[in-house]
Amino acid sequence: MDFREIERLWNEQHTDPDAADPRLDEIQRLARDFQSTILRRDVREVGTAVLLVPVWIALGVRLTLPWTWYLMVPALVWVGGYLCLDRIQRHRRRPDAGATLRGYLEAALSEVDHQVALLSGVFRWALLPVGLAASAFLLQIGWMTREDGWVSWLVVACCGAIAFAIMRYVIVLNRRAVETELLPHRSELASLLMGIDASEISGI
Amino acid sequence: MTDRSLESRFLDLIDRHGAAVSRVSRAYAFTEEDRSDLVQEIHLALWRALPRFRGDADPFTWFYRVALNTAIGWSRRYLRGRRRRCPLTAIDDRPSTDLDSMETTLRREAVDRLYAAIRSLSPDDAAVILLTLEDSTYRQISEILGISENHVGVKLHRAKQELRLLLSKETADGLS
Repeated sequence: MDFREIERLWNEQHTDPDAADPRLDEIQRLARDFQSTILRRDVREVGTAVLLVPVWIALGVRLTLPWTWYLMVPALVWVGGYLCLDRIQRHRRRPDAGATLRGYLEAALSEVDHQVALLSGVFRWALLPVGLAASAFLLQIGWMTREDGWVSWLVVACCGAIAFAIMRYVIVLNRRAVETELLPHRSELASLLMGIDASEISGI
Repeated sequence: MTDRSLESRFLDLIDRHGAAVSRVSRAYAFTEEDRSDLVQEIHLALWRALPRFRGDADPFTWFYRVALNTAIGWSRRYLRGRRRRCPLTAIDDRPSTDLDSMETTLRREAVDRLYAAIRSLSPDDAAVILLTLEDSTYRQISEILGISENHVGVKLHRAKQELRLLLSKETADGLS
């Protein structure tokens, strides 16, 4: 190859059409991993809620528990339904196969932001309805056994404390997931997006 | 110079000559990650050097001088050991896709081989080759690299020979 040929090759690189960016594969892989993690979590949570409903009803019937026991059923249906609806909505917003690297990154970022919001708001959409149902049941039990005196209220308070501790634990778990998994993933995506901006400025 | 005017001047320079940064980084850095680091380092060096640029030199010459000096320094600092370990085509640039036409794929591979060969040259020789390929004159090259025009001629002759040798070796290896 003589130098004239090298010069021709050099000049031709400027006319090279924009090829598939190798970073796109990496983003798609990251997005697939993230999606499968989210899917596993959603299946686990929706599955638990769905399984708990008949168990809850069966226990209530078998132990002839008061009506407030069954408040947990709509609460569980709400939690499972909320996650399902959320998945359906997110699925509609996913970029199509022909989307650009930037499109994928922006979609992945918004997905992570959505998950951060979902996990940060777990109290509002999951723990509050479940907690209200549990509180109603405990209060009713306390009221029904009020004749037993303080022992009854002590048992109710202990159950309430255990329920509170579980809710607190769930909040801490979700916060930890946000801090240790979602936010680092978010900053990774954000830096890739910034890299694209820099590449576009410098013409890579 | 205010920060705002400095910024707009910087963006203007990047807009006009920014593609050169990507070519320089591709000629010195082996991996996508390294390339991205080098691009950032060059941008930073340009930003730092901009307040001292009075505009009496040709902006392209100044831009290329900063970019190449940064790349050469970066290359010496980080890639000395790596360069020896890496075969010429060990790390590739853009993998071709099924959607690429055969012609595009072949051209891209040839460009990749050219960059790989440039990366195998010494940092100074790579700079001379890059500047020549960018249509710089001997005077511009001597200004950018701080060497005499005669020395540019000597270096260029040697670098061209080495580049041709590397490319023919690559082509032969590719065919065998």
